[in-house]
Amino acid sequence: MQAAQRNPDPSKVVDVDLYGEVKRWPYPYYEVWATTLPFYIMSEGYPQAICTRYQDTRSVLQDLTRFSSVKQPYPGTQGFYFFNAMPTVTDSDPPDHTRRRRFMAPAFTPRRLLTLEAQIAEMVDRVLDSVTASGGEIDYVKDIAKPIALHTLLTLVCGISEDAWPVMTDLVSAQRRAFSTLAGKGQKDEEYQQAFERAKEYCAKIIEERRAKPIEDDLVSNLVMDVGAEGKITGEELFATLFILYVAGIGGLTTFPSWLLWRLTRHPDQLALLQAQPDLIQGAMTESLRMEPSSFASIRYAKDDFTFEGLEIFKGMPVHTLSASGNFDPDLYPDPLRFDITRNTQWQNLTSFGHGVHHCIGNTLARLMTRICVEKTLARFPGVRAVDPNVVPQIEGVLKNRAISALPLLID
Amino acid sequence: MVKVVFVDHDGTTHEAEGTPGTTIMGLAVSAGIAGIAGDCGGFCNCATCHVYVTGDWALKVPALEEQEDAMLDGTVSERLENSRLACQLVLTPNLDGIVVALPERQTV
Repeated sequence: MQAAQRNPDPSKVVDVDLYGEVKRWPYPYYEVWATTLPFYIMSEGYPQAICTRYQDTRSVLQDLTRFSSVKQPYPGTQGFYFFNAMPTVTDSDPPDHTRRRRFMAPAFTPRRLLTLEAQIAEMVDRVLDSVTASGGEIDYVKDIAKPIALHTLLTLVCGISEDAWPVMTDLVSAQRRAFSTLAGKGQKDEEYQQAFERAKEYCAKIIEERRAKPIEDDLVSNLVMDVGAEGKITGEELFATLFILYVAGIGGLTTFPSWLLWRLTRHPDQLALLQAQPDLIQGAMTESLRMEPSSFASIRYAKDDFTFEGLEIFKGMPVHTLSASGNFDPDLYPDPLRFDITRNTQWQNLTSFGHGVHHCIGNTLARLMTRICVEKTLARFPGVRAVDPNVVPQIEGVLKNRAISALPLLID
Repeated sequence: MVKVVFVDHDGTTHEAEGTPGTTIMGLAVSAGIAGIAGDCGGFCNCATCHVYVTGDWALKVPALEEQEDAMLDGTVSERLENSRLACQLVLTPNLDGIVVALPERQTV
């Protein structure tokens, strides 16, 4: 490490618990940071760069010459290895990234998703039917959003039978418990390692099954056919691809409708407006995406020494880009703390799904499922409201994610 | 400036002009052409900027590369021989006046 790196300009160091206090209730920080130049936070005595302005986050995420997604050894980064250093699509740069992503792409194209729309609608009805029977108070995350996310991703997209879901849901839970910076641990533990090994065994079994008996239009079957071929996917990459698909997919698909319902029930005027004008659903989804993306941050690593927007960056330094802070820039979104489903926002301009080559591959699926889920929720339970509209939600998720863990609602 | 003519599925035409180096997708989004979605922001990742390059213009655009070829298999509307993703079509002076037809639908 260079001396300058060990002693960064103190005027550019912010003493803040980014992945704890900020993540729990980020809005006052977002309001300030939307117009704040890049700064450092210190971890284990070394600086890491934080980018929060709209243009800064986009610049970092699209600049592949100066910023890499490949993890680098650096003090204070043990909590970043929540995918166990596997060769994932997220932790790679082109051309590896391009090759790995290409294998996932067919499952998420608009053409493929169009064929799933009716099946998702039918499944959402079934889940809502089961909720109606119990009546009264529900936990929207556990009772509605999560089962719908699991059915959508594991059954409809990945063809995994329901009896095998616990392998993946246990892994997600163990990963969140181990790597949640909110709980103060933020690194691998024995429970996570065991869940990881079980998931690895399960993936190996599925791969063998699909190799022996491929299923038409099935994601895993298509991937298996490419293993080992020249320029194709390796066995380790296949496992990493399935792993990230399951884990990241379950999280993101559960979180999007949950955050939207939290926002709507926190702001009953906006909920009433949406119920009076159901075609505002896209605006409501975009506004929730602006304020409450599933992604909290994306991390890159500097490929060299350079200055970025006035901040000295050193080779190997982690550079954190916050996913939502730029969405609170008052010049782009006037009165940014106000939840307003009538804003004329183009969701593509938000950094909520990331930006650049790593833009979330599941974004279309997430928007499709969330629209159906929330439309049908409001139609089925027109009196839906928060048990406590002012509740401060419990947050969970690994470093990069920000998920609401429970949402008590009244539906009678 | 390079002129692009967009022809909607219903036959309505829109013209827009962009600087060389801009992509046809980028031009369409900034000009508010509704028939182009461009969900991923122009990184050949989403297949929602599908266009049909009309007539001899198809001979003047750069050749299809592997990733675009793969993504074109996932467009909502039918893939034809002249199908391209507009994010991969960079405006150059020799494309001035290019006419692209828009499919009926880009996304779900």
